[in-house]
Amino acid sequence: MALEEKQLVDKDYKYGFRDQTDSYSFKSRKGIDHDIVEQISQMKNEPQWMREFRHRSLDIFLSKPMPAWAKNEVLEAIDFDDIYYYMRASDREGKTWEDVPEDIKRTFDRLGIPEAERKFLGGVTAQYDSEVVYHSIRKDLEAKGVLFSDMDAGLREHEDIVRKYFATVIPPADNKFSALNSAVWSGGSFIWVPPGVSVDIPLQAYFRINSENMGQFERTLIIAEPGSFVHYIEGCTAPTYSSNSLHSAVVELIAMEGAHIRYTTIQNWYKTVYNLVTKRAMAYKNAHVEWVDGNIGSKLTMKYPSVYLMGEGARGEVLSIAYASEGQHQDAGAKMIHAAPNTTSIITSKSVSKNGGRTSYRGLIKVYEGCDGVKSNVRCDALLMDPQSRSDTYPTMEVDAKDVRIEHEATVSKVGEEQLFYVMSRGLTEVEATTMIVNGFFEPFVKELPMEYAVELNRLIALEMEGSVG
Amino acid sequence: MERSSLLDRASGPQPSLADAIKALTANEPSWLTDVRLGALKRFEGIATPTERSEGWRRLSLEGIDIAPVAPEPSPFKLTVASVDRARGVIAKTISEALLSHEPLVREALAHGRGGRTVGKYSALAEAAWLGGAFVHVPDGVELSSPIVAEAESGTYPRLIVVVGKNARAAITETHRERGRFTAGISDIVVGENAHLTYAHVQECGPKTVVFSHQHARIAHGAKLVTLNLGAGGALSKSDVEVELLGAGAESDMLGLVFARGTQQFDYHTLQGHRASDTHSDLLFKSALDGHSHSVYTGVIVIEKGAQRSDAYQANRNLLLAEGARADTEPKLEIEADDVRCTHGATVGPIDAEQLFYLGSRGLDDETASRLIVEGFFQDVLDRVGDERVTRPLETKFAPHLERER
Repeated sequence: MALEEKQLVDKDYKYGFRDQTDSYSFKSRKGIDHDIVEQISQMKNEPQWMREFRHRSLDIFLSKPMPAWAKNEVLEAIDFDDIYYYMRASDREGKTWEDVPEDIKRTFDRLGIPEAERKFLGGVTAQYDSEVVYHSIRKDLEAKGVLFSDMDAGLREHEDIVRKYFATVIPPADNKFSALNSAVWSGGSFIWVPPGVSVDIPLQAYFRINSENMGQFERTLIIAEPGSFVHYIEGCTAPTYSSNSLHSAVVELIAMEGAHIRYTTIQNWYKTVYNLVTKRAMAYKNAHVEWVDGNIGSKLTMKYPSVYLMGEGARGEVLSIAYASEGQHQDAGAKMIHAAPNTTSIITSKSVSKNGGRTSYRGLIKVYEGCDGVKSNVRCDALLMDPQSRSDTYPTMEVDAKDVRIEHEATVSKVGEEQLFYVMSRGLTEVEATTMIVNGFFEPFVKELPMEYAVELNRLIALEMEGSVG
Repeated sequence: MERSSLLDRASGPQPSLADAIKALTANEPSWLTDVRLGALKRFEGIATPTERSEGWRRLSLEGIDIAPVAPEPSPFKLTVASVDRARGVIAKTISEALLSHEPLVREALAHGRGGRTVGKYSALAEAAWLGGAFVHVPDGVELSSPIVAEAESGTYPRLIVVVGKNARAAITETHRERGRFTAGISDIVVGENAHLTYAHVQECGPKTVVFSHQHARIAHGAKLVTLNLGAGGALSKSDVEVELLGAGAESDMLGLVFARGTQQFDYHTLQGHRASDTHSDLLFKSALDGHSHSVYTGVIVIEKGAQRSDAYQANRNLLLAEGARADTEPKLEIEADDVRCTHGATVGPIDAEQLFYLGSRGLDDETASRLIVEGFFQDVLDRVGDERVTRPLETKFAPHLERER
């Protein structure tokens, strides 16, 4: 029975197709060393400072041990010598949709990009493997002076801005995987919003990994100047693979005084992908940063979006959901660093474990000395769907200031029999009832998403829940 | 042969300590020697902690000497009502108990230490204990009054409490050592359907480094209520571990910390649900004055198969002064689905509204905040549910409620 279910899910895996990718125009050899890093930098024709930055980062990566706190035998299983660190699907970026190669277009068709265009969802940066092959910026964005491009183009065209902010939020030495990303990064998004400008349509990028043993190391930098607003959406899907892939992104957000950034991610990597991501935001005076973070796929995700609240009145929010099924471990959470008085933060985490999956919430609330008037509230709820599954909660609160209000609450439970009974008494089957209850459990997250994403997520959950009962 | 080779290796950095431990084994049963030497080996296998070590990085070791000292006897003053003695209650030194009750002592000392966090100093205490006390409440006996065990000197105290089936007992273990270093272990075994209230009171000297490991095993249908009261010591690091081993086992775990000056308290708790239908409820509170620092890390573990378990865990910290700090890390590890588990943690100052309210009744700020702290703690003492145990503690700790100036 269990096997049948697995096959069913595998067969129906929404994005579980795979294109012929023989047309890769450049593919570095497997493994990582200074030659590869040099090659990547040369291919991209980068300025000297970036080249040196990559080499410096590689040294840090090689010298840093795996994080000891994770105690994760899964992590130890990553073979860094068996991964491609850079490849480029076509020689140059397509300027318009017509210029994009046919096989890549087919991939995007299935990801729904033309649809997104039709729906005026904004500029699209579509990342195919390591390099952006296509992106368009809508004219209204250009008129407002908003810069939205892939990171490589950002470096070429706006070197002054990139150089000023790049790696200032997450330095390479932050952790082993941020060092790796800093050494071999490719693609990702670069966004700069001028002062006072409000971008009223969400900006989106689609990412894909599409070659076996292919690593993806995108690098995103978003700078919101004073009083501006931007919402960025990152949706990840990856096709079926037989061996493990590594995805290790670095995302840096900078919200200047009074700026507001919302960053939405839905991660649905295929269940062989390691998703080890560093995401961090700086929020200055009265700035507001929101991470909306959904983790559905991957073999192992380790991701703790952070907000450093650097100026008085800054506000940080993380709303995250995690779903782990057979063979999956979602180790997700959030960090709020209160480095200024009268800053506030809210973390809401919801997780569901099923078929032996494991979800962990790992978080940190840190309040520095003298930061009075800080308020922080953390709420974690976990649902366990069967006796094989596991849920952990590892919150940490470090408080060095007196006049603060720090609260943490967590619950772990199963779907209530009374709830099930009630819903089933209205004529629903057990599967339908369970799906409905789980969807309701995730509702606070789903309602923060644009409609297409909300619909897709509900469908994904329904698909995952099928066969989970009985 | 094995024994001598182990000790040869041990004679590296701490030759005198290893020799001293070897000397302790002279007239002991061989199983006990094995336990000591195994623990010594674990002690030596763990690096000396620094401020960067996991489990230590939130503490300051500035001006704190954590180097171990030589074993010195830890006698307990034992107070047992004569009527209870007459009912067969035993309270004597462990070496005496080894002669009269070896199987029970062995059962308490050589069960293989199910706890998950046996650290360096706990291993040392297991190897180096000297003196100590053994308390046994036979099956079905209900104590007329609580047993009191008090230690005022020694370096590696050890207390064993074995409560038989269907017995009802209460015991208070008090520590007032004033040396530089003490590392103690308390082993608690609660038999089927028994009920034990256990208070651990730490009022050691202001310069003492205090390590304590309390490990309790609770059988089918039994209930253990523990209260930890932390007041003394320069640095106090405690592991409080409860394992619920039989269906229907239950534990309330309570803690109170009064920290002032530059005192550091580090409590680690384990609520280990290893059987179905078990219940645990933990409440640890600390009030922090001066430049004191409290670290709380606690974990609820619900093992596979421990269905229909309920577990609760709360840590509340009251910051009374600008320089006080509180770190809290309440953790859950759940491997069964039919459970109900919640935990919560708070850190904050005295509620300004409460102060205002009491002020409006004519109380000055100092009296008002003292009343609020008393109330904050009284709530925990009430939950112990045995006034014979908590009443003496209320008066004893009144001086600690005075605010620092």
